[in-house]
Amino acid sequence: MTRIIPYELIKHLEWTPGQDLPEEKTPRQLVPSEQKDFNLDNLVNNGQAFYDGDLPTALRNAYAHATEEGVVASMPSLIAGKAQADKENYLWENWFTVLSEEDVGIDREGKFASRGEPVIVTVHGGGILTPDRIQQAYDEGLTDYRAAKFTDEEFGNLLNGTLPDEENIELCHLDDVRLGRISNPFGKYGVVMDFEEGKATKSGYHKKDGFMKNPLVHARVGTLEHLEPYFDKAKDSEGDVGNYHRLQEIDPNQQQGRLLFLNYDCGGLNGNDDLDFDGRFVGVAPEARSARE
Amino acid sequence: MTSENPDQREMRKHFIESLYGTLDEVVSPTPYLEITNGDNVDVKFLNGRGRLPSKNSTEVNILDIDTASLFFDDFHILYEGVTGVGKTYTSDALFDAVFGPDGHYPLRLSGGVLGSSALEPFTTTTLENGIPKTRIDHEKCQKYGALFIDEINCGDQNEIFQVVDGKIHVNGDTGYLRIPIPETDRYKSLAVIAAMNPADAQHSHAQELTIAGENRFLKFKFPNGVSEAGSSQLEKRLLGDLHEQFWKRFKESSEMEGTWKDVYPLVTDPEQFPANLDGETREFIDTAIGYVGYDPKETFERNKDLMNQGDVEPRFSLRDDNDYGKIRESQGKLKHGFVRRDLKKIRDLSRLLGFIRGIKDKSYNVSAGLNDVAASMGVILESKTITGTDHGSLMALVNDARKAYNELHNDESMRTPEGYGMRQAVWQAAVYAGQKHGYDAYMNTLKQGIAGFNTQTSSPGQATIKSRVLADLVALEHFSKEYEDDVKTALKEKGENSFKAFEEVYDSNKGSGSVYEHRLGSIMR
Repeated sequence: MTRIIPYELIKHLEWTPGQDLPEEKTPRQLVPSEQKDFNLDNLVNNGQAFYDGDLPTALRNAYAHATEEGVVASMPSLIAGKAQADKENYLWENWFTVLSEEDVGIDREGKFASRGEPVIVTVHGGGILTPDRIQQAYDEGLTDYRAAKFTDEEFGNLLNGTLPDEENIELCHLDDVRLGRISNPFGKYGVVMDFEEGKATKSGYHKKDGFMKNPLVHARVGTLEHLEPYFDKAKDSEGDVGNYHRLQEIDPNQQQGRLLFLNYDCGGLNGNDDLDFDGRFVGVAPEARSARE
Repeated sequence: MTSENPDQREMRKHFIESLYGTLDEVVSPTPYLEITNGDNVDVKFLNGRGRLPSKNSTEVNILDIDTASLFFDDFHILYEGVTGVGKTYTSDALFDAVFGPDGHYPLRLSGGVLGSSALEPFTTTTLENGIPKTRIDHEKCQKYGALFIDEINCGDQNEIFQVVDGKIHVNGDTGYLRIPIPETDRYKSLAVIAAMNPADAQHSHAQELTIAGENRFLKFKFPNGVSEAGSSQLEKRLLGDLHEQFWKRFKESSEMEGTWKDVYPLVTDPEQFPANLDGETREFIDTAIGYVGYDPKETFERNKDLMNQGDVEPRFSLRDDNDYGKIRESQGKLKHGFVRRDLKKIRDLSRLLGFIRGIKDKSYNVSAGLNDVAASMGVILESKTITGTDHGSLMALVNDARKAYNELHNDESMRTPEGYGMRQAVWQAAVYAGQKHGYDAYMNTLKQGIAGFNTQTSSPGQATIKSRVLADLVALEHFSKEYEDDVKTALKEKGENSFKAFEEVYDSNKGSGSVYEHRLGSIMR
């Protein structure tokens, strides 16, 4: 005999007429971005940190080590690497700058938000901010909150999925991150989200539940697969990990971008730091070369 | 799940208190395991070493297991341990107290041509025309309340199986090993406790019990408590007439009269305990077995295959990584995985552990929850390990499954009510929707439930468990399309009748595909 559940306890599961139908069953598989010779074990065991007081120089050095076949670590790959690595590993011993940039500007054509509303595009694996472009930003002058100023054309092209070197990248929604649709989260792609949604999140420490559900965190990490083990390892004695941003302070009408940092230990994800701060990137050479070395 | 009959509960209370009071002078408690309840269950095998009691923890000793087992028919205990640790002693004292010297039969099996037979207590051999003829003695079949079989791995397995199953066959005749329960037309089964030495180099006469044999028992590795109990054991010995002492105590406290044959079957009538587990615990068994007792990757692929047949692609995967490797390493210690009989064992052992908790907290109730089921799965898995392998790593797997199930069950967006399964909640929400808005609303609620659970996972345990939940829901969706007209008719019923009508649709059509019975049975019940 069926044990009947009182209606009140499960009415939230009920579909009612007028409600959207559940999403299509077969998930949209995003086109894989360029597959380079990268795996997590290689990052954890063979990655090298490249520090310099001049951020573009640190990035150039990391690129030089990685070569065309290797990679400079993005936020998703460093989060996954830290989730996998033990706490004695080099990844846990310092802060890093990541090859993930948080760009903000107006969606003039209404591609991802209402026309004229601001959006955040988090580009992983290399976007507008190349070493030369960062140097150019220094030369032109940074924003009040020390980010690079972008032209309308640069940001408009980015929303079309085109980088300054005319490379095309896939732009994803937050749902693509949450539903695991990004086939190579350690590759090159962008995650677009509503500016106000990101701005509404707290800049500071978070308990686990809040951190795991934070939309800005989702955009910054590209995949949720490694987030929980990362949090568990990173958290402090109070059970907190940070996620910092300047979205409550900046003017989104000024198209701009900054590189993200991954803080030491429980400091977490950092979108606070100045673009003209020191740089410490992780370069990962192709696996075969790492093995030889 | 709680027994509601106060008289029955009172009888249990008097019986167990009298028994523990009587055996207090005789049996030294040998700690076997400790169950700690919290967000997750933690089961520690104590191996004779007691721990300082803590809040939410229950220490289970060998006497607890023996005593509680009397209340559950078909629950047979097998102790494996080296000679001299007391395997026989505790059971002997218990059986002496409850059944008296004539009411139980200690049997020691031995190999060889002249070896003793497990059927010996229930048969009579006479010489007819110079030829020995063995026949079933039906009086003896109803004479004993319990049987202790020592060195069970030295006997004829076929005969042992018959005894354990409570039905023996000799020369065309059948004997039933049971005693009537007064004022009912039911019977109380023979209680069986067995013991064996491990089949190792030190016990060269002993063999491994066959898998069929082990499946009939719940095997416990008997702990050696001597280093812990030390000299406190010296005063423990069988003194006086335990049987008389026990029943005198019982009669004084309960004011019930009669011989053990009148009272024992009534007090230990297994029907007093509800047999079913709730939807949440059943679902945990369904979903966790594929993770702890089998290759989780195979389980995942099997479920994925079913999902794909229903045009659903899982949005998660189970990767061949270090975590998966550790799971397979732990499972490498298993002689064999779960079999059908084990499902019943898990259910029974969880009730037994729940009952032991009831004994400890003096409520004398049976309340088997998710942690009891998890603990039972761990104990049963550990009983299947190859002799000589270490204890505990399989329990860690069960705890992983328990944690993963808990996380899914408590998912904030789905909010599955406590005591019910996730699949049950989606199905019943669909029926409610269908009652109000028709078949399409029913189907859309199912689809919505599938989409709600089809999200990323963070561990191999979650991936395996979630794949089972989703595959079952996909099977339900398929069933509902196949029998659309019948489902539509069921949804037109009012209130609870709609669920009953749906159950009838299921009962009438489940035979059309084994997948329906395997996947939908525990959703409907």
